[in-house]
Amino acid sequence: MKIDRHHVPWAIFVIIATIILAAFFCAEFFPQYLPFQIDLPKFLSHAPHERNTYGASPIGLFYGTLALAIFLFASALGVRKKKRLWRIGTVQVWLRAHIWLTILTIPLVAFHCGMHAGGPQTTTLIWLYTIVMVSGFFGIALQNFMPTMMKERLSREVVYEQIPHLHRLIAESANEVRTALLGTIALPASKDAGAAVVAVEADTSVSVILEFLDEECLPYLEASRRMATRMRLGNHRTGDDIFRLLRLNTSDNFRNKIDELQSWCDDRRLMDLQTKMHHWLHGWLLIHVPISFALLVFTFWHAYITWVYL
Amino acid sequence: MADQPRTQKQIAQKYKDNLDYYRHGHFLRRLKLLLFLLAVFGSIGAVFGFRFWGNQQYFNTGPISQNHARFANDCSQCHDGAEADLTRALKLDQAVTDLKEGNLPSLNFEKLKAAGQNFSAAEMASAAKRNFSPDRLSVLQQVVIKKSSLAGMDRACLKCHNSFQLHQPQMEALMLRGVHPELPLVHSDRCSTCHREHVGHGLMKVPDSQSCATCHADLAELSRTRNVIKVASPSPPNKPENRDLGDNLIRFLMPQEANAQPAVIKNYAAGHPPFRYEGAGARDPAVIKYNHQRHTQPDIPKLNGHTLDCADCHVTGKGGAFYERVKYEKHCAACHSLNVVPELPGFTIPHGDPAVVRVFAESMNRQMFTYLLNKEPTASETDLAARVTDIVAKVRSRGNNTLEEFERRIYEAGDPPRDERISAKANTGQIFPPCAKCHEVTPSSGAALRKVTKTNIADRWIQHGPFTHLPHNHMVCIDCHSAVVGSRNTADILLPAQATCAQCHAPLRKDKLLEVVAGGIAPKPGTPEMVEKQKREGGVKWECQNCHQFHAPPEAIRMRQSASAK
Repeated sequence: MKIDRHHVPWAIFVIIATIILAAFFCAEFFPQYLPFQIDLPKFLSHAPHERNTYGASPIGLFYGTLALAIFLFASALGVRKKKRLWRIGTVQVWLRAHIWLTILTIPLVAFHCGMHAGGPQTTTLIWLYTIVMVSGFFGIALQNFMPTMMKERLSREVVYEQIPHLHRLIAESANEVRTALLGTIALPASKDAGAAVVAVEADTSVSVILEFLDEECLPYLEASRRMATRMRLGNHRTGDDIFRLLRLNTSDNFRNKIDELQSWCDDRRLMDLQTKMHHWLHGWLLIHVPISFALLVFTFWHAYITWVYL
Repeated sequence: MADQPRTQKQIAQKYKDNLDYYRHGHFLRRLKLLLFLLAVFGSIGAVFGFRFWGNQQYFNTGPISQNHARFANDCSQCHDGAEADLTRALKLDQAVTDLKEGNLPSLNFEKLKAAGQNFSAAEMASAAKRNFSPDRLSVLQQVVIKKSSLAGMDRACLKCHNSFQLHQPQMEALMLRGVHPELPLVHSDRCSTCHREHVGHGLMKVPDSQSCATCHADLAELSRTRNVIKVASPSPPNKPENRDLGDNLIRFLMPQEANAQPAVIKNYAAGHPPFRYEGAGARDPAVIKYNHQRHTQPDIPKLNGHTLDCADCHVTGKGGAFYERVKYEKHCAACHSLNVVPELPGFTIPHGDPAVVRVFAESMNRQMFTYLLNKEPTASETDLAARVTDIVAKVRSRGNNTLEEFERRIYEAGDPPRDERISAKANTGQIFPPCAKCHEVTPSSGAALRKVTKTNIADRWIQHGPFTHLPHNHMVCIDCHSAVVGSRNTADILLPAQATCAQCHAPLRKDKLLEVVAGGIAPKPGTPEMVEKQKREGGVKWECQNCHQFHAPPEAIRMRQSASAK
């Protein structure tokens, strides 16, 4: 999701909420740092100061519970995306809330744990939370510049899931061209001298194109993405040079055929680039989503352990 | 090659054989699903299978102190009923067994409900603090109380530390119960409030003053928790009194104020009540005539070549604690000699019991002979007897012809008699001063012995905490005992006011910090400059625990029980 002016109210909300959270935290634990006195509601203040940790104080528990509620809401985004027809706000609004409310969990979690990682279990939680947040920020960053980059670099973007199908189609088409060219070599020689010259020239061009197909084009079009990017045709400049040379070595009669082959190779190259960019654009979710779920489970466990041990 | 624009039809044409692509799994989607399932089953498996891979140390929020190290691996000792294993906590094993036997697993909700409503006194107090109505608690309020109270943990503490459940910060309070009919004893079963565990391997830290201030700086909390028991006091003082309570120490006692309200104390320099001897009507009840101001005058004869100093009479007790009792023989006799004749400097009227003085007066010749014999063992008895006769003749020549006259001079007039004043203020030119110079002597009639009232000089002026002079060696006496300079009466109390102590014994006054003094050198420890620095900046031992203790001795529990029984 692109961060645009629609996010400004959310950003202001998060900044104000963070200031209020910090002020309440200081009012409870470090009143000496506040320029004015804040009287917390009874249910948020210590009565009396009892706990050894920030998290187990009433205000710490409140912050922790709020953070957990936001985690739950954030995890509900996946469900919201699946149930597009539910009339519970647009997915865009949900996504904005997902981003900014989870940013708000940073001060909530920091104040809940009092800036300390604590024991092994809470340290595990902090690590999971860090991974989730870092991957989330990485995702936001990618989603802000990758679409523009894709628009600039991918002139013929296709449906991502169709790419393997299109690969196959291109390779099949190239094979059909090869079969057709092989057919032209088998023609009987003409008695007309002029026609014989044309036939010889045609034979030479066909064999050059066939050689190109066998050596360069078909292996490139049939290769996996990883292999294809390492081949000569995988490089835009080298590919152009190869086709330029191919045109020089063949008669003009085959110009359309060669243009078609180049178009397929270009398509293949663009699809490979699209695949790569798509993986970058969405690959962070492979970390973000599963770790988020693990974080949710471990957070509930942490809440349970806190419950039974205190 | 230039990109060739394509029509939607051309583009769609390419997809026409693969329009159900979204029904087939795709690499990225498959991977996402796989990782998600891995996270789901992995994390849930980790939680429910905790018993196979972890131990309770995993939940440890910090190292266990040395005090509790022996059960560091047994969390349930303190965390009563804590079950880390969710499988056991949710009784999944039992549920599986039930299912195998064809029964449906069930939860005993009545039991859970009863457990939730079983509140301790501390929990109810916590509810009251939060303005929750104790008789109508919602489920959420019950949860808040249960989970924000440490009552369960405190109960675990009291399993071993049962004798520490009462709070009485004044060390001598129990001993003073004979003279103080009201004994404040606060129930202190909220151990975990002050004693913090899981904060380090060493010994548990003594709670800081902030812990004390949590209650003592809050009048409402003090009033709520205040609990006073009445104890049988045979003879409480009704005026300032110096009294030995059986421990061979004479203590200064003030009448106890009935129903005294607790003071709101933020720290030693803010709110701590004045010492008892600062109270209205406080005076030193010691029965002795002593003028401190006179003893600081320059005309006072030098003692062993130096001007008389406080330390010549006041010697610190063992370990620097308070002061030793001033004794005539040790501290007064060098100047105020009771010599009978100047020729025999060691032959003195006995100090103390009038009966002994009577025996001395009656048998002075024999006493003198024995004294001389001990002093000069080689001299012949005839010579000694002759010397005794001469000396006694001299004493008699001063007018001591009768026992009655001799005793009058010993007790009231001195020798030679100054005049007939009972209380002779000075003994200049006298051979020995009269007892009445310093003591209260009750005249007698006939052959009866006179009575000399015991001085009853207080050994302890403060009863509720310890004191040592040792750390104050860098100060001069009048830094604290400034009233000594002008004091002429015994009744003057010359001890420092609490506010004087609080000049140094106060939280560090950061606004008055001076990093260096003139010349760029910080004052050295033990110098007068350091004293000035400490007075200005504070920061010297001001924690409550430096003088007070928290827990009442075990005996207090029995006293409380017996008081409750009545």
